[in-house]
Amino acid sequence: MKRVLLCAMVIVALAFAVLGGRTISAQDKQDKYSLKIPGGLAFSEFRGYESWQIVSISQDGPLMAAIVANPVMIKAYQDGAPGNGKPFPDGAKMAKVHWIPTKLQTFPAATVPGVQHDVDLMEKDSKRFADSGGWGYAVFEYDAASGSFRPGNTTDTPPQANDAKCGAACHTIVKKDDYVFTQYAAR
Amino acid sequence: MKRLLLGLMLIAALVLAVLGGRTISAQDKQDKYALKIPGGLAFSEIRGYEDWQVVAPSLTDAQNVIRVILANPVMIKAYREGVPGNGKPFPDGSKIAKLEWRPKKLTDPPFSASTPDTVPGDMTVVEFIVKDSKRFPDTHGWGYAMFDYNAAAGTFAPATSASKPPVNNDAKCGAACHTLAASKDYIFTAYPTR
Repeated sequence: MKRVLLCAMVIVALAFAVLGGRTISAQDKQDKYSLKIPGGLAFSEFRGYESWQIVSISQDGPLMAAIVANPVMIKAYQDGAPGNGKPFPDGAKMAKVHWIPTKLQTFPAATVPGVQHDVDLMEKDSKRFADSGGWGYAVFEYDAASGSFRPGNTTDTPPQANDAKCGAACHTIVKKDDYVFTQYAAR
Repeated sequence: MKRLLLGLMLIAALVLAVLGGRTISAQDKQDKYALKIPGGLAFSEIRGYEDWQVVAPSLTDAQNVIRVILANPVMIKAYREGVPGNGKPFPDGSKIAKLEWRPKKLTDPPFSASTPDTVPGDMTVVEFIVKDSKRFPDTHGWGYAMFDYNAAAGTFAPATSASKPPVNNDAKCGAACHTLAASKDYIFTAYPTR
């Protein structure tokens, strides 16, 4: 009987050890959606952008990018915005994923995404972002070594201050396109 | 009474004219999904690819081409589960499309001639690959197709032996080339973090 009890205790102890280990490993994996720009946007406002549809791609200086948008914004693009003179509606969100380019190992003539560099985000809310053309902006930098994101800051390019305006000055160049550079690529 | 009849006939003629015009204009707009490679894949096998999720962009300066690679939900799910790096092949039903454009250099501020933003210009081709291990056993389970796009006309045409790469009347146009990626279940494009 004593032996059975001892056995049971060992099993319980092992179970705790395994469960404990799993908890620690789960903590290691960052929850990027808990990040927030101080005074600015939360990453979680763009939850699910990994599955959004593509607007276009670009090679912008040293970085390669894919620009994706949420269903509200994709629908607006497909309806002709911003070329039809209509602005993107409130609720429109887009994300630009930047990678450091690399040569495709199996076909070196092609340049493809290497490690991720950052993700740039913007969302339309004409009341909330009234003083930046209706758009709020945010940048989260990616650290490939640790596999984790961090909020952008003033040392990044472009600088991210403690607000939702990091892209506003630059995007004013395309005010006529409702402050959005990227056109919906034909497909 | 005669005048009323004449009026009605006039209206009927006008209605027919308008409807006829609409029919002609609908014919002008090509149904790309009616196209098919003789002896190969039909364009309709990737119906809806316009809305598929992105796997990755890619560009080849030497070929003056910028492209994006999209995949259907079956294949995106497999990528996210670690295929092909985890040693498992993509499942049957996987479909992947590659859209190619001539690069367009944006030089307006904040860009410049020396630091342009390179984006898609005119589309040139849609290529796709579908996995069906029973249907395509001689090409490792993958069937290949390519449709050339004429940007001026706004229409697609099945690629031919005059296209680059050449397409014969089969579903094997990419098979030889993709053997370079045999260790990755014949798929060149990896799914990068995002």
